[in-house]
This record gives sequence, C-alpha cells and structure tokens, in this order.
Amino acid sequence: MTKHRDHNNAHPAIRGYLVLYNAVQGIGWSLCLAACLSAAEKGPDRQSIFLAGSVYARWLQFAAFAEILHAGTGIVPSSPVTNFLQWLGRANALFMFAVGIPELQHLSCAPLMLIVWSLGEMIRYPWYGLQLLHACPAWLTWLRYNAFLLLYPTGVVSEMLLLWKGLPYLRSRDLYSIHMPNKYNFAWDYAIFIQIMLVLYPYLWWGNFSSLLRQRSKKLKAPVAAGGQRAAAAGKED
Amino acid sequence: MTLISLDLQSRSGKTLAKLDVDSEDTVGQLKKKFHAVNKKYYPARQRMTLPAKEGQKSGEVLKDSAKLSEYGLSSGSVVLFKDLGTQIDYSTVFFFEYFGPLVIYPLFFFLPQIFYPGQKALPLDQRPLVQKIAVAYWMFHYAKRIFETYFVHTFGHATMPIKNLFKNCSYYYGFAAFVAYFVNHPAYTAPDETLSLVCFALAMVCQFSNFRCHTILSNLRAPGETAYKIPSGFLFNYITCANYTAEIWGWILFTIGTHTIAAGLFTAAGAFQMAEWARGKHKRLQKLFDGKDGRQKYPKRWVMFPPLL
Repeated sequence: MTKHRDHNNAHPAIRGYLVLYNAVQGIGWSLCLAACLSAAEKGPDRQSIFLAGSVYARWLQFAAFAEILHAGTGIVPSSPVTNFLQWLGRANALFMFAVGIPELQHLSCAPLMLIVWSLGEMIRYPWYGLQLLHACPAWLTWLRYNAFLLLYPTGVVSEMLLLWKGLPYLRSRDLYSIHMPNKYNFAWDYAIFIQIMLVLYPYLWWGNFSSLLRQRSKKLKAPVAAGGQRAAAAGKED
Repeated sequence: MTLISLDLQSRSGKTLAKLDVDSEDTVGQLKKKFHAVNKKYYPARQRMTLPAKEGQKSGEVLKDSAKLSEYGLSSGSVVLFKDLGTQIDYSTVFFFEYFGPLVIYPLFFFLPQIFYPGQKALPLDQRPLVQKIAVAYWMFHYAKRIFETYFVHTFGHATMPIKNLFKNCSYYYGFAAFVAYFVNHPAYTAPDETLSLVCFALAMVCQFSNFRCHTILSNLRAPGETAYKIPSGFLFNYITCANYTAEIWGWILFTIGTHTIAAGLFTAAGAFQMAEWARGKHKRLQKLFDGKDGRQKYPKRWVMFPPLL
C-alpha cells in the first residue's frame, strides 16, 4: 500500500511542511513537560500538575490527527489505519478519561501519563524532523531507540490504570453511551467497550513495541567493518 | 528434451536440493519433484522465483503452468524457494466463513433469552415483520454464497495461507453477531413496513443480479484456461466489478430496510474492502488490455460503484 518512495528526499515543500509540523509538536511537548515540572515545583498536587500540562497536551493531541492524513496521502511512510487507532487510543485516555472525569486527575497516573508522553514525543518528533533535514545526530537516534524501552511500558500501564479507575464513573454517570430503544437501533455501552479495550491493550501494545524492538536492532547495529557508511545509513532510513 | 540440474536455494543462499528435470517440464512438475525430496513442502506451499535481477526488489515468480525453458533455466541455474506456510483450499475457507453467519444470525432471532438476558422478548409470531424478513434474507444470502462456492465459482488460485481462515472468519462471524444483535433486539424499533418491504424486494433483485454476475464470471474461462478475459454482458458492459455493485446495493437496502446502524457499518466495511479489490482488478485489466500489439483495448467502464467509483 505505501509506495516505496524515498520520503526523506521528497519535494522540498512537503519536507518543509513536515519539518515545521515536527518542530511544533517537539516544542509543544517540551512546553508540556516544562509546565508539569514547574507545577510540581510549587507543590505535589497531582491535579495541578496534570492541568498545567494538559493545557498543551489537548492542543497537541488534537493537532496530531494530521498524522493520519500524512499517512493517508503517503507523504509519511506509515499506515493511516494504525495511526488512526493510536491517535484514538491517546485521545480516549486524554479527553474521555483524564479531562472528562476530573476526579481521575488526583491519581498519579494522570500527570505521569502526560510526563511520559512528553518525554517520548520530545525525542520522537525532533528525530523525524532532523531525519528529513538529513541532520540527525547519532545520539538522538540512540535516544529514540532506547528511551522507549522505559517510556512505552510506563505509558501504557498509566493509560490502562486510568481507564480502569474511570470505569465506575462511566457507569454511574452513564458517560458517552447510547441506549436503545432509538430510531436507528444502535447502542453503545462505553464501559463495556473500555473493558474490552483493556483486555486488548496489552496485545495491541505488544505489536507496536515489538516492531520498535525490531527497528532498534536494525538501526543500532552498525558493524565496525562497514564503518561510516553503515552508521550513516542507519540514521537515514525509516 | 534437455536434462538440466537446477540448484534450488533458500532466500539466504543455502542450497536446499539439486533437482534433475527436463527443460520441457513445467514448474508444477518441478514442485512435485521437490515435494518428493522434502515431504513437508507440498506443491501448494512452494513459491519459486528467479533470483532478482539488477534493480529488481525480487525475482520473477515462476508460474505452475509454464515450462522451465520459458524462464531460460539451464543446468546450474539457481531457483529460489519460499515457504508460503500451511495452505488451505479457497473453497474450504469460503465454506467456513459463510457457514458461521448462516448459523450465528438466526441464533439471535430464535434464542433472545440467551443473547438478551433479563429483557422481555416478543414471541416469534408477534415479532415485527422486518425482523422475520431480515433473518430469512440473511440466511438466504449466506446459503447462496455457499452454493456458489461449490457450484459456480472457479478459483484463480487453489489455496491461501491458513492464517487467512482465522482472519476472515473473525470478520464474518464478528459482524454477523454485531448486526444480528441489533436487528433482533427486544427494544428494536421497526421502520415503516412499506419502506422495508420495498427495500427487501429490491435487495432480492440485487441478490439475483449478483448471482448472474457470478455465473458470467465463472463462464469467462474454459476449464484449464488461465488467461485473463474481459468480462462482458449484463452490468459488466458498464462496470468492471458489477458483482460488487450488486452486493453493496443489497446491503445498503438491507440497512435501509432495517434502519440499523450496525448494518450500515457492516455495509461500509465490506464496500471498503471490495473497493480495494475492485481497483486492483480494474487496473490489472487496463494494463493487460492496452490496445497495443493486437490486444484488445479495455473499454471505458466504472470500477465498482457508479457514480462514486
């Protein structure tokens, strides 16, 4: 489905736009982290830390929908369906749970989730941008393919905890659900949906994680014999 | 009549077997020879390719019906082998994927006490007419599909990887339960009865059209022929994948007739997949029938769903 084009050498206007997009996201998530840390300095109130970061996180997550379009139009070598599902997962955790059920903001997993997301994105987006500019330093590639080992599992556990803790509120407040009877004969019990998602989460997450592990072993393996050429190529693909 | 010895290698360059064959033998016969050497790899599971040439990502796939000499193979030539994994007959897959919905949907109609526990369901004779028509239509549709599998369809490929069986059955069984749950729900709200009757009558017309399309397609090739042909007659004069047109309209009418969002989602999912297949087929036929060197030119036609595609 994705054409085998050299995305890092595409038309300058497209690359320019993508560099700009990645810069905005990279800077944005840095601001999110800074806001969280600054709120944390003032006091250990988890809700304030979350709210400080969420000011940025909401917009960044909203804007991230663009990545589905990037994948759909082929300017980024990625599957639009995968992107959509990942976006949906994050949007659900952020908007439906952390923002939609304010009581959850007092739990550690709410601000922790934002911090973990921020740390991950502060590495990932600049990495994409610099790849497009053929100016990506080796240490950033190293970070990109190692930081996730800690951040990913932490992130997914925080998300799952948040969802788990939110279930009682979904039920008691009848949130985000449609009931029958209605004219179009459709029902959607959000609590049941989330319970199913919680079962699927580890399986879906593992698919993602293992593909990153495979990329990691490919990208970070630079045999000494092949020298500079291999190391440079390792930073260029993706 | 030249005896040649071929070097069958794995993708990593390891020689798996040296096979002595006649250059006039077919690829199919070569595969049988390898199967005799290695019992695990029955012919349907073998993919043989030429090594990749300059600039190619991978080499040309060897067709079962072609002669080895057609690929310029001589003694010492390398042929690459790939294991396609456990294979299963197309007709077996089709049977299981259609049998599921045939059985699953009526369960929701006949056994509401199981699927809607604690909710009061009407006795069968008091059910809305739409629910009765819908279950009959649904079962007819899947029974028709099973019939076509064994008596109408002629398959281009004989087998597919076994993991497709699980993937396909999940899709069909999942959606069957999803649609059946809502149409047969005790709290189901039936649309206007006349509207439903008209929709289902038209849907049956679509079923027959679809069947006619399938018989036209199966008659395109005589037994043993493998060449692509330009379909013609009936709706095929205007649409490349007219069978999909009839199928999609059938489900659209089912959705309107039952006023059920779940049916709409099922229709959309099917249409999306069929669009992918249709585009591929349309492109292939246009590329093959380019009007050059005495070949026919593929006529201007819709792909699958006028006026959108």
